[in-house]
Amino acid sequence: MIDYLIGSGLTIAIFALCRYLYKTWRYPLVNPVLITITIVCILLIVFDVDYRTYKSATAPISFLLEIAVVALAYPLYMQFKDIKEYLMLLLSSSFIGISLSTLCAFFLCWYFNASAELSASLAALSVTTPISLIVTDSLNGLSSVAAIMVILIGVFGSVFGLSILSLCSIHSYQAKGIALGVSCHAIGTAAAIEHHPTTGVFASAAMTISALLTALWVPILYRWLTQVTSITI
Amino acid sequence: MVKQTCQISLAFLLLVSCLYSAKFIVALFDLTIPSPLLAMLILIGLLYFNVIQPTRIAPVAIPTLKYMALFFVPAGVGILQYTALLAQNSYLLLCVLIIVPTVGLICVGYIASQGTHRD
Repeated sequence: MIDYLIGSGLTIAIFALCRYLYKTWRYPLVNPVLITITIVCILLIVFDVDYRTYKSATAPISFLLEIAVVALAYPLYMQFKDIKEYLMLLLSSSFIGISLSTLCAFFLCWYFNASAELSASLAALSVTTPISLIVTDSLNGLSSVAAIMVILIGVFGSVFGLSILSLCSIHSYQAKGIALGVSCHAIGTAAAIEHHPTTGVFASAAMTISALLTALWVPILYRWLTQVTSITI
Repeated sequence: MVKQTCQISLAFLLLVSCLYSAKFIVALFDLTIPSPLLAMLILIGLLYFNVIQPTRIAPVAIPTLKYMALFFVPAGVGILQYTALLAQNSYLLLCVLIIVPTVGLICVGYIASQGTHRD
């Protein structure tokens, strides 16, 4: 019980502080999750605490991750009226987007001769972290590596996403939202909400739909790719 | 205060019920779909067919999603176990970090712009 209070309490306190700093500075590189993870890692090294001890002390926080995935049904249902007209476009864009991301990551791993474990960890990166963790676990990947990479991809999209889309002459608010939601998940969605309300609604819907499709499609695609290229998982 | 506590408890109970129903179904039929995702699909179905009103789950769903980022801190801290692996594959990770989102943004943005009007 005392472990839960110290481990979970300290993590929540550091996160709250980082969130406050993020709200003050509003710069994507000051991402609260990234900074919280860095601070907790430093504390564990300084005080010589084993990761397994920390993991068991933060079990209540990890349990809420599953609840958060279930709760994603709420925004999807609430936005249904706004996105109904664009549902097919959202589904097809999300499907192509997540397939391309998985293919890119897989062939980069293949080119760099990465281990099967690392390759599985990078299969589902363009998706919100809880889904990425679930997919990575199901593919026997390293969930911590996936978590960090997902956050960094979100930060990349948040900083450069809108500029990349403008450079490619993509100006529609809906298209920008879908691209940010599919490719850069929640952190990209936050940037989309700041850009324009329509972009935000479409980013949020695209993020939820791509999360659903990723969990269903990426394990099948990844297993097929490993069979084709004779890499065992 | 008591009313608010009851609303939060009911919302939490509904979400947990969906999650554990999904876990039960996954275990019973030996499915490969992740339990939280099946739970999410069950909840969408319940909301769509008006079995559950969205206001019933909102007291927990809204704050949970607002602070969702906190829940993946413990998993992220696990990176400590793989520092050597990350250092060994730094070029790969850098390429993945730049190429994967860039390809995704350009392709999805282009496809989506074909189906939407310019603002």
